[in-house]
Amino acid sequence: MKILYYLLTLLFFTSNLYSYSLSGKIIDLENGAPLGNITIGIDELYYFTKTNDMGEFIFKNIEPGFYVLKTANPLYGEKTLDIKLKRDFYIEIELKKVIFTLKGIKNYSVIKDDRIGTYIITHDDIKDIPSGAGNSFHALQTLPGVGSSFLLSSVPIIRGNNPIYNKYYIDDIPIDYPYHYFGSIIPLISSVNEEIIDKIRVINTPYPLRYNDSISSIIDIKTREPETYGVTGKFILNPIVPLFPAIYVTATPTADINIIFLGKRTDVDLYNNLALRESNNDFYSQEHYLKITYNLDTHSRFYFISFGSDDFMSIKNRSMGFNEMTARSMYHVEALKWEFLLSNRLFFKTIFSNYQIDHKIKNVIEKDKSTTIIAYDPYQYRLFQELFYSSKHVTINAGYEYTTHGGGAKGNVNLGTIAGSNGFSIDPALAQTNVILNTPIKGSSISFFSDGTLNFKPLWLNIGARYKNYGPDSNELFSYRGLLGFNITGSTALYMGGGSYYSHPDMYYYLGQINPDFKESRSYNSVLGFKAAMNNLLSGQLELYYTRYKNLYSLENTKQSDQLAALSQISPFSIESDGTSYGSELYLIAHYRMIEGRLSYTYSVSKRNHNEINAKNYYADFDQRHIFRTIIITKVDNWVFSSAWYFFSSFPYTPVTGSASSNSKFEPQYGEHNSKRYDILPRQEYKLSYNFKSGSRFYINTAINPKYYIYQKYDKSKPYGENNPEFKKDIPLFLWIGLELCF
Amino acid sequence: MIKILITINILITALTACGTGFSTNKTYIPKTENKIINYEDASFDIMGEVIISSYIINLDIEKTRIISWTSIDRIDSIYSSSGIEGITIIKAEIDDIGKIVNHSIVKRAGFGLDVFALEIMKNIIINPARQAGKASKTYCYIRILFKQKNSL
Repeated sequence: MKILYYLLTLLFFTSNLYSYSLSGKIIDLENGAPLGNITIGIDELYYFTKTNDMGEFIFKNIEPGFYVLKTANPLYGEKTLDIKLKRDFYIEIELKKVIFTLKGIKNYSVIKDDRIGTYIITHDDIKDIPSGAGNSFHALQTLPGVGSSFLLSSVPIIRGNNPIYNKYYIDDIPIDYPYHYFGSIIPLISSVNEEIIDKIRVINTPYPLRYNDSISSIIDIKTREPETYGVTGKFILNPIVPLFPAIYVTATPTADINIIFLGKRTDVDLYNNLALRESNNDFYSQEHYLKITYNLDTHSRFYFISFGSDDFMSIKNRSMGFNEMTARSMYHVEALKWEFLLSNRLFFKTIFSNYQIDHKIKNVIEKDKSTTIIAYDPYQYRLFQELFYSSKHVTINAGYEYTTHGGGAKGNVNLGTIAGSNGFSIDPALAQTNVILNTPIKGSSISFFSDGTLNFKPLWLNIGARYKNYGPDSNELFSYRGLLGFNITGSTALYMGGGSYYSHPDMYYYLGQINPDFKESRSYNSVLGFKAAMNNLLSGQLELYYTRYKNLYSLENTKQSDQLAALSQISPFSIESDGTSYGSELYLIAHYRMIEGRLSYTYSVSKRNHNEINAKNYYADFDQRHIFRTIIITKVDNWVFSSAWYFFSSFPYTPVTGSASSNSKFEPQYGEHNSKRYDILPRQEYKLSYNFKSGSRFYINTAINPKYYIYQKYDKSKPYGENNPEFKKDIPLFLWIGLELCF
Repeated sequence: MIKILITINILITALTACGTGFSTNKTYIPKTENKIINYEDASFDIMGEVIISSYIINLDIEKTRIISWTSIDRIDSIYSSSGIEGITIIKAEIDDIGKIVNHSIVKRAGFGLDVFALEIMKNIIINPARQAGKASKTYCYIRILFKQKNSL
């Protein structure tokens, strides 16, 4: 028994021999000063202590092993250290003072509307609402009056008009079509990444005259500024498989310098090159955005802005006589901007920008090196200056815009030649055509504009005018507008007005016309609207509009093809010379706790006439009679769930009614122009997002699109019959997963 | 006698070997599955006598937060018509009663908006960071956003 007691005693003493002390000192990283009153603990053992005034601490009799040391203090935050204890251990821990970030305080300035009824999509909306295949403009399709083509279509179709008549502004710089293209002609997705967008405003006519060159709508994009101090960023994997990854970085190196950068590039082509694989096809796409701002003093700011995108594809096709087709589309913008707050009544803005476009489709036949080419590479330098004045009853902004144009369109085919009823084709035989496309766009344009608001409550009046001398055709134009409003209550207004606007031919017109006349399109618009914010829970607006169009663009070689309109969206092939559009838009927004609901209904009729085909009063290619949508966004903690239900009319199309045999081909015979439509289209889209506290985000986006016909495809090798033309359906289901990782 | 001495010895040894918390004169938190107490209470009272918990206890800090602030009057005149927006970020030093004792602007909104930001900051009341129930001096970034809003 004694032996047993001695053995047990020895055992316990022996166990004590294997216990060690853990001690150390905690110091300030910046100045090395000892830190007292820091809580420190060993996680696994539940031992805690605080450092003394010398920053020292000690734990005794700790068994060997792996432990996690934790420190905490309000001034120095929390720190975790992994340690391995196998003897008496001394550790010196350096801590850095932490600065907590408080949730932002928002101050709203009530903007004096220069166009009441403007629709706005915010950065959060784009993030929360189902967004298609990483397309930042997809959320615009939730707004009233904005229609769409196929499920993943990117281009907003506003009030039944050809999107060719819309104008985009990015940071006050006018852009034609900021998209990534397939084959230089079909826009795939927006080239303005959602991460850099602060908000997008859709301003319908009668829009303020500081904007220019559109007879339809202005899509005004404002970019973000850094929202945190220091350097932050994120990797954007959209889709989660990194095919087209982006990096987004914001930096605030000093209080007065802010930098935002976004770069996005395909990487599959790089992997292919690294693997030294030979391929018949080559492609790449990129987009970039850089904004550097510097506060010169407390009242003025200087900007350097650069953005743009490139898309390139090359296809070697052996079945067509060993030809190589390349398509390139690019736009680049560099701008200097200076804004100066002269006083609390005067604000001055200056922008100098350079805008370059390069669209090219080229086909080279290996056999005889004959080349088919169609190219458009204009550039313009623009100086824009604007002065704002504001007083209690009067707001005025006035300025001028001076633009020099260069470059133009050239080639030995035109769009009308390469387009057919079944889309585009660069047939090698076209190289033998004797078409000469040579349209320089040269000259200088100058505009003077002014907009003003007279506000004598409850009445207010927006008026504006623009005089423009357009250099390429030495034409003088005058646009004007007026909008009279009456505030029934402080938050309810009735308004009516109208205006007249011009739009100059753009890229597609030049690529399609051998002998362009440069004549501008014109619209006369009128609106009647009612807008009300009942309370914080519900707000809404109703707007009726009527527009008359003159001298719409129509190419020399008109094409009967709903496929071209549906796929290219910005279609230069619409057969129209004048016409009218009218309709009404209802928009309701409701908030209740963590749920936001939006409901919109649009009734729209767009009718056109055309002299060449001697057709009158037919539906426009982009007419969508009914557009109904409900959007519900639910936010619970870090989760955001949104659903969008769409019901809308399809575009009209011209039915094939027969065929005529000619040279062993069966040329289609068409019925009445745009006299048929497919069924009303139902579509459902859902998005589930999880926002991590770090700012990272994960989301799943899906869309269901049952039985949705988008165009007819006629096969000329077969006669007209039951299966010719074939009606093509849109994709029925779509799933997209994205990930954003913050650093 | 020897048996008694040996038994006492064993007991002392056992206690010193297992009860390091007592030997280091620091809090010992026994592990039990029977009582579960509030996680946050545990972290705030970490230096109390004995806390019973089945959780691994983290050393959490109750972070600073804004309790109240007073908006400035409507910023009208040129701001309402020119679309000026901006973000001011202020680094503030807060004492243990939540009073801002020192500050500096680390990101300016420009266009005179920073003056409004400083005016707002004068009236901000902040709950200081706390640990173990005790408030402490801290630093924080206060972000003030100036945004445009439609009149209706």
